[in-house]
Amino acid sequence: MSHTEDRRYVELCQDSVRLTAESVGLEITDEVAALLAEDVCYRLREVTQFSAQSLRHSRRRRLTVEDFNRALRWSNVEPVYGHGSPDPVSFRSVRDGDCHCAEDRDINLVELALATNIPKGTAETTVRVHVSYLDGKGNLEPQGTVPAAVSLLTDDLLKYYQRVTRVVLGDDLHLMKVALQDLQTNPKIAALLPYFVYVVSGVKSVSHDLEQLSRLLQLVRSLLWNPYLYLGSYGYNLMQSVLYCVTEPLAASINPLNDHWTLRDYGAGLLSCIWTHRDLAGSLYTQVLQSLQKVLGDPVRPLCSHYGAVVGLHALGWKAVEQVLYPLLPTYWAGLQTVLDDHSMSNAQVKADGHKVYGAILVAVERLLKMKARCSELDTSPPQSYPSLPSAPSVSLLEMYNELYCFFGDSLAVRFGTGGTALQPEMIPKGTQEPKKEGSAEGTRKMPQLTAHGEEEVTSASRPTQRPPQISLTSASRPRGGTRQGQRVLGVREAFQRSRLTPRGSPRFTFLIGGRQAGRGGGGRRFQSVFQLHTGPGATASRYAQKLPMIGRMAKTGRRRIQTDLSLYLPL
Amino acid sequence: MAAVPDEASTSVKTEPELLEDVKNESLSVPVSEEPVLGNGHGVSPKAASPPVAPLTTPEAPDRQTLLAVLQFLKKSNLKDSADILRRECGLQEVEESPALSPGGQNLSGELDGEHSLLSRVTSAAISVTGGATGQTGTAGKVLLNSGPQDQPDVSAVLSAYTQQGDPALYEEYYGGLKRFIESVLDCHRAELSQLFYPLFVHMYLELVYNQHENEAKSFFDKFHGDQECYYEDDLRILASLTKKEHMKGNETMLDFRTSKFVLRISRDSYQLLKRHLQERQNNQIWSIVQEHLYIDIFDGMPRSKQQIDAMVGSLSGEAKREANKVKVFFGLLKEPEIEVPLDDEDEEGENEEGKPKKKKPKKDSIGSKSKKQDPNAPPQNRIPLPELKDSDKLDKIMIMKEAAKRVRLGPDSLPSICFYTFLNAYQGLTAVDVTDDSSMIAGGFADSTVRVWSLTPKKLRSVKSTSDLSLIDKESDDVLERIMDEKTASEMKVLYGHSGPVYATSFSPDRNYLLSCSEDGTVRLWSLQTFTCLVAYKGHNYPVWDAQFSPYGYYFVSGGHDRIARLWATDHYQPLRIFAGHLADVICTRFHPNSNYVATGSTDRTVRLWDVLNGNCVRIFTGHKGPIHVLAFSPNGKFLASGGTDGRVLLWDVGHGLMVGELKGHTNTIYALKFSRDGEVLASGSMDNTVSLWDAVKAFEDLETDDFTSATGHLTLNENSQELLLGSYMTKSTPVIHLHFTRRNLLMAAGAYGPQ
Repeated sequence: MSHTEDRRYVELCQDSVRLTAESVGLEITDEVAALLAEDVCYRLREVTQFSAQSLRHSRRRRLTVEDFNRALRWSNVEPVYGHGSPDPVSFRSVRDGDCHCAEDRDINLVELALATNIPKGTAETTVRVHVSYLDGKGNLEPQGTVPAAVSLLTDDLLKYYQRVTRVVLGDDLHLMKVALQDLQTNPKIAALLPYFVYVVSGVKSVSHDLEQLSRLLQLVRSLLWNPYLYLGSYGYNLMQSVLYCVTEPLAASINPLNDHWTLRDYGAGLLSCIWTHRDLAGSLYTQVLQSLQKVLGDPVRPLCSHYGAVVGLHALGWKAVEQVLYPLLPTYWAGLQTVLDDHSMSNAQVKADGHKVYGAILVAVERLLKMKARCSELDTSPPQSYPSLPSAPSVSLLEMYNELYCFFGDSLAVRFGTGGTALQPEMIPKGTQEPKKEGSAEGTRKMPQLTAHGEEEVTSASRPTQRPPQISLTSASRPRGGTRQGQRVLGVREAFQRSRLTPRGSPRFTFLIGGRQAGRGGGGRRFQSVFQLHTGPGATASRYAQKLPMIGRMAKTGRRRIQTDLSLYLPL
Repeated sequence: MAAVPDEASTSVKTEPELLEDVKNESLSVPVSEEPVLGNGHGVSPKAASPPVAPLTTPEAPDRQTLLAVLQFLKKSNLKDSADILRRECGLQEVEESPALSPGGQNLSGELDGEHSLLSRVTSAAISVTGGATGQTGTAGKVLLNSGPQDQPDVSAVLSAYTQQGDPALYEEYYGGLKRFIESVLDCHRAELSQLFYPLFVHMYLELVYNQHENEAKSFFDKFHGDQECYYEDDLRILASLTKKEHMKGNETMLDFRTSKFVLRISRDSYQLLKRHLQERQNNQIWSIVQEHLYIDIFDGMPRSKQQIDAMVGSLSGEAKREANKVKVFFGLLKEPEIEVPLDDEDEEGENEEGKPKKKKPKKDSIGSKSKKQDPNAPPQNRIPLPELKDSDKLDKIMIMKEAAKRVRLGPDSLPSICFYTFLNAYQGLTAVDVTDDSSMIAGGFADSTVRVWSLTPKKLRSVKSTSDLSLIDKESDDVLERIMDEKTASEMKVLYGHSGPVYATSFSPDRNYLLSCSEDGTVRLWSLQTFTCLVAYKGHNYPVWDAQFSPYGYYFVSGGHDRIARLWATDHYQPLRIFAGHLADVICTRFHPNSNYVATGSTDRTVRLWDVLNGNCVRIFTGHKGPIHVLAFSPNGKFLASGGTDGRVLLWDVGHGLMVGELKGHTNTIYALKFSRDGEVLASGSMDNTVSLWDAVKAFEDLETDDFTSATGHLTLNENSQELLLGSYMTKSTPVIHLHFTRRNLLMAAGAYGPQ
């Protein structure tokens, strides 16, 4: 075979034709050989063209022997036998002949026949589906491939990864802090992100071990804070893991001695970090919200799950609380109430949990109210000076307050009823109104007033240790507002007076919530707000109050104190 | 045997084909066809197979033999024996042929003569007259000759080449013309340059035919470099053709001879050319221009190079303008009005509040849309369509419900893509189809099998055997459930029957049937109730490249290597229509959404649109530079997209018969095209392992504002492929050979993983 100068077409030389003729015992002249060679070339091209067509219709890239044979068959020519394999034929050069021939190895059939390992058949043809692109975006990571791919990392990274994971989950607290700190600042660990995400997803397997869980959550925190990491789709995985810690009834929760509440609080904080994270741009917000809503709306779930959902919502911001918690509250309240009303010994633990939830809800709605108030303050012209002007947000705020008041009673009232607004003349009717409402509520409602700070001397004994120095004076010394004792009315007044006396120019209300859900560093959380007292008909509260069964028994003050403690302050 | 003249070797092959033609003849006369379509014998696909199957297989060969013998007898003037034989066999049909044929002629010529008459009637758009006017019989024969392998008597065709100039002067003639064209004004040069290729080919063929081998070679070497790059494939074939003997049976050569190469040239340019040729007394070229070229002269501005390049490239030049003038009813048929139950529990249950409000206006809009008759739609009963069964109506309701939940796609909301990878497809996956409701996927394999998978948790079950069926209580409510044989439940079923690679599969709209076509020349209809073959439709004697069900079921179209597309009905074992006209293989066939038209794409690089009613070719679209492998109609029926080996997607306006867009981006053959359910996005899948999404709305919207008044149809396409490309998505070394949008606009792509 030889090639023409432009090497596009195969040309058979006369010698090849003559050789072939000789091999079948024919003598042919040069002329015949030349003609034959030309004709063979032409036929070859023709067949090639047809086989190329067959190739295209078979949606393949490589021409197979089968394609060529098919073309031969269609032109009524015997196919070339012996090359049925779809694999390409390998050619071997014959040195002395200056030509190539197909590799044709001898196969020892005896060996094959006597072989004990029977060759397996080819696997069955199957169809596998894979979501390749979601909404036209990005390749989703194939699931479950992460650990297998570890070997693809460079040695250094691999070592780093192993060290860090070992240390983070290890015993040495100091080392752990160093590792976490490094994770938070190291710019070179982007390649390891999938692996860390995978490690974090291990929360489900260690739900019995609070320590491990909190370590993993701290790992999440470090990853979130690392400015060099692009979370991308991994944000979702992290969110899932954190949500698990926050809202699942962890195995660790069975033992009341385990402080899983802290873990949930911490996780809730992380949730807010995740959804506000720069890489995710709030894309996970609705997803988180929905899953929290689902948890909270599911009465079968244990109270600790609900607690997680509430603190989660709280962490997502007051809008989330307004959107999810507030509408759910009326239905949820009924369930919680029965728990709180059950005083049997067997219920003690559940009830304690219930108080936790109660406290969490209270904190959440408090902030909701305050933020609403602030919004209305921002929206309208200073409401303090024109409180009689009912603007739209303040009305809805008012309703909300009224409704919430029915649930929480004075524990809300105390906290918000102490605005510096008492200074203003308009506040006076409110001042009178307040006790009236209290009075109407008195007969019907006796709520456990679970305020964080409205405690008397009972809590003050234990508090100083927990309270950070910046604690505000107002909250510490405010009298318990929720009591139904005779001094209560006085107490409210006193509160007003006190707040009036607070040496702050702006009518701000500062208080501090200690306890677990205050989370970070146990330093408590400072809330500041201005709250405008509702001016509407005070009867709304009693209307609900009459409908709603009573919660708690005010007669048992001692118990109430314990409850109070349980709810927010009691270290578990 | 003797019926076929000359070469005994070919007779074996041609004989059945001729007979096939005889058979088809009676069916493909349009007038007599109407009742068949209108049909007294059940249109419903249910009647499809059982009675037909025995007809095709055992009887057909017998009859063919008989017919052959009869014809032989007739030809040998043994009339008496023929009569006796006919009486004994009770064959009536043959009687028609003597009436038409004035004896004496050679039989094959006679048959083809009839056929060519037919083809005049059925496919007016075909340029019947090759070079051999006055010999209609032969010309028709070549034209309708349905295979590359039979070697027709080419002498007549080639006779035009016998006129002989001095072979040495050919180069001079051509060179002279080349110099002339290069010297004319720029605006004419582009137009006149179109002459180069056809002249080059014809002059080369003349040289070869007159056995001036060396001159031919030197002519080729000297001028082949001037030709446009998109003719490269043809030139390669041409280069291999150096002997007169080889000209016989060479498809490309025959294509050139039998059809006039069409050029569109403005009147000014044409005058210029004419004057030049007459001044120079360049008779050689002038005679070629007159005999072998068809120059479609238009008044107006000469076209630019870019405009010309967009439209040329097909095997026979551009389409004549009048070929695209026929009115096409591209509108959709009115949907039957089906009452959708408004209070639907699961609908309400699934959606949260807010949704039900939205739904109502939507439903109204659907209703009002279907009530209004589309002005461009064909009359409702232009093509008889099967009546809706109850199950069809239920399905329609499902479609409407799903449509309400459909994702609206656009540049900002791209579809999610699910890839269905065929693993371990050692047999070579050659075709894929997915049911409209995305519940099943069928794969055709090179090892002759068809495999059907269920894509839902519902497994595939076949109906119980007859003996078991007789035991079933037919009155029970769940009888449809009871007839299914639980023992046969499996995720995948293999259908054996073909004896060659399966090149296409197509589900019927009601999901009861599956079509497959294969290299073995048959189209098979499978039942998805029993998973057995019901009918093998024989007619194409060569590989069948594509087959597709009509969107309304019952009809289907197939096209193959014999250059013919055929329209069938499931309950007829012979085709109802034969669409002849393509100059090379029909690679892909698609039904128009209103089922009144069929589009075909071919190796001759043209797309043709055929009227199902009368078999006429109503549109010829040229512009592709390679074989066309896939077609897709937009859901509103207005537009057609085509893709092929040239890696480009071309968009066509069916109503105006114009090219309206070109989408460049793929680097290899495009095997899959699909419009999203609402037509906003066009997805294309290619051998280059990518799926691309194109903004169809934008591609067609610029056009709406355009003024189509120019009857010339010369559109300047803006080069905006990159703006229209919404995204290009890689697979993992898997060629994309099928695309499908689910009813909610999720994009499903399929292909076989290829490690190479």
